[in-house]
Amino acid sequence: MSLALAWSSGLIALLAAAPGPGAVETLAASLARDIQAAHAEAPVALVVSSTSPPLGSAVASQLAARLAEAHLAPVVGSGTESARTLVSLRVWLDSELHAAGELRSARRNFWAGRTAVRPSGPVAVLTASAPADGPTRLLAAAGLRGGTLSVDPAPLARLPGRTAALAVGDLDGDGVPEVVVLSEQELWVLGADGQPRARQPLTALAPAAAPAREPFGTVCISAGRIAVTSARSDGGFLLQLDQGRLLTVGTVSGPTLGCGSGAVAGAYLPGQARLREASGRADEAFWGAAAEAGHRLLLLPDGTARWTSPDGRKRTLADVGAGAALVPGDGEVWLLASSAAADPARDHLRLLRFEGGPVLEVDVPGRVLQAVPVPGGTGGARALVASWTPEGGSELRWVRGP
Amino acid sequence: MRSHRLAIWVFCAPLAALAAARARDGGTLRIALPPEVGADVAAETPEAASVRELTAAPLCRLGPDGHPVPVLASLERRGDAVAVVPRPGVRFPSGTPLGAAELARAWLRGPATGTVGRGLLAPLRGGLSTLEAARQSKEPVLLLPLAFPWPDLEASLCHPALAPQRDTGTSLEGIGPYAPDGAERARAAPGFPEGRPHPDTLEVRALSLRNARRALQRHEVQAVFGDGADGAEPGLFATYLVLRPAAQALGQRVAARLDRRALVQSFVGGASAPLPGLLPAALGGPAEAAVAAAPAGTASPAVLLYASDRPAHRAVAERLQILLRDASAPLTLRGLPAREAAAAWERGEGDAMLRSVLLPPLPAPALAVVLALSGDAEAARRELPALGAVSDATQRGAKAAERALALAPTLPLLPLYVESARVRLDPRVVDVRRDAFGLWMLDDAWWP
Repeated sequence: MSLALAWSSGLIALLAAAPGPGAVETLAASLARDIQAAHAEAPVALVVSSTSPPLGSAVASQLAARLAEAHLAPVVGSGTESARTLVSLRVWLDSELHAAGELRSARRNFWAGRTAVRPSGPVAVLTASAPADGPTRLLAAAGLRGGTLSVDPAPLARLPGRTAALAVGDLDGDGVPEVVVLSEQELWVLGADGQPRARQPLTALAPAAAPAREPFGTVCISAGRIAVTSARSDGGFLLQLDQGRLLTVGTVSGPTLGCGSGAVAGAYLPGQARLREASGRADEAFWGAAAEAGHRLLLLPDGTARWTSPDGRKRTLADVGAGAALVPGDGEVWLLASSAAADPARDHLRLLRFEGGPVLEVDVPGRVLQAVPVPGGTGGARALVASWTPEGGSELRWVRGP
Repeated sequence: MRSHRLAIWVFCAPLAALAAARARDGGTLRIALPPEVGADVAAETPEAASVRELTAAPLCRLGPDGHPVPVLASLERRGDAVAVVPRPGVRFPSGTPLGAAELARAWLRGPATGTVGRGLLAPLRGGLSTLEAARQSKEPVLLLPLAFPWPDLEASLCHPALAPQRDTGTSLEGIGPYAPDGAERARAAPGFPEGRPHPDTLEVRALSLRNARRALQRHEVQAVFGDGADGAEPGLFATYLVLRPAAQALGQRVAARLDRRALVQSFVGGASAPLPGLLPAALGGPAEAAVAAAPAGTASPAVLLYASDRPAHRAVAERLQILLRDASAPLTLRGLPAREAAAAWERGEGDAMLRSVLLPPLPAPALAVVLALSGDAEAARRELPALGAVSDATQRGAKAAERALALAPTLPLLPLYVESARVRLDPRVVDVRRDAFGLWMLDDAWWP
């Protein structure tokens, strides 16, 4: 820990020594001007969050210095009880350094006593960006290394059979995502608490001429509808959750590689738990694929992954298993990857950045076969993984990360 | 019923230090069968049944929650009947689709008249006449009307003894993940409803136990059936001393002198445990045998039939002979191959016989099988409708266990021991499990 702090301090010193104003100073100066323009009253409480604690700390320090120069008596991270103005910011880095948040009056209503009521004063939206520089990237990287990747020890749900596909999305429009699991022979909809809400057998689908032995399929959620296909059946269903029942509202012709706008039509390889692009090379098979914010991921049966960024850059990663997902972070996309060499009782998840960034790792019981991002990071979870247990069942677990 | 009754759906083999994220396809799955297992052509032992399932799968499997999962057919309740609905496209290797007629013929050829099948199908209305009527059916669905409520029929139909097999004139063919391709080879069946297995080929080798172990060490075979002593889970392959009604005193003499634990340790071996009640402890049976007193009077000479091709039967028969000799009760042993011994018993020969049956993992159907084994048709007619009338599965199981305890002194059979299926596996093999009946499932087996 002390080593990490020392490294962070060293980086801040490096940042201070950099010639000319760095990205952090530029960003802080821009924010300070906006805060003054919003007629903030002293003292000003600053609450800055970031995927990288050192980066968030650096921005908060620089902003506090600028606000002190303006006699706004800044307080960082605490003192919100006594503050007259509260500034909440989130800081992240992609090709640029960004900050976004709000400024609001923290003057308390005397008559409210100890009841914490949100004041009705004006709210100002704060946004700022600055071109990223080397020291800022190093700070962000230090933060990610110092963050943690964790998997909930208690499964969200246990299923008696093995999972073929997984998706998370809001099916009923209540803003809370549901979990959709395709098992060997049926589709399950679970609430965010893991409780079953609906089940739909796939027996109405015609069997595939050469079904796959391993449970294998695709599930995509779009506009509250579920598109599901299985490598043991021909075609697929389009389903909708209606008052606790799954209604068939259409059919789908076949699987896709990935979901959403970046999805590509695919086809199952006869008798195998493999996909190929419908219009691509017939001899190129994939364990799966993902698409997220312009990024594309293809999982190859040799245990490698091909990751293409929105600007067309490609990266090949080794030791990536079948359970892998592109997970949106704060302005960037990460790869959550299981191991290609998992043993039947234990797997290993890694969180990777496109550009050689640092790695976070965590062990998972069982063998991870599916991983999907969680929209909006519900309940602090970044992703959901399904692992196969040696007993022949499956377990779903939330993955939490920076 | 005890909650762990289906716990035989267990983790087993995957000990590999390094595997892979998804299964690797290809290769040949080689299985060694020592003579003891190879002799069981009727696949009555769990070892032989495990191997036979690779080419003749059951209609369904019981999931960990106790519900049937379709393999060849789904099972539907239709009024007071159960419909066996073959899954679309399910065909024998010769191309004949599985339908009502093929299923009825398959059951009439053997299982329905055998001990286990008689017990499992005991609740059918009209008995075998229902199946006789379906022999010429053109329908794909076989409707099984019930004589009385029997909620466990669906689970009973998953028993490996009811796996459909078709007589081709020269051999029997089933529908499994592998299709026979010669006497000792089978090839992966691409159209099998659960998908083609990962290896391309299955080879079964008849080897002596010693050579089989050596082949396993050299990775020349991936599994040796009938070897190993994985006794961690209670078995459902139960052995009883079945008696003619006139020879019940013989059973009482044995019961009074028998130490089942010593019998199991010294004469049965392997993965076995004492069976003090009609049902094993996993199905609610007692942990200890009731104290039995030897009958008074002189014992008359008796003949004990046993399967000479099952080493445990031979050893136990000899042990019983010694026990009875000490009690001045002369017992003559008559060893015959398992099939011939069963036929001789059916013809009325012998006073007692050692019989082993694979019990279903639910107490009520297990008791139905035990009643069929006892030959006491009147007890079955009396007991089963009362059990089937209990709709709650847990209460039904508890009542079956209670009735088994009460019936034990009156039925002409003496429970002896239970065994688990024995297999020794190459530690590199992944995804091998045991099913709810305790059979080893190699359908999903693969190795990195």
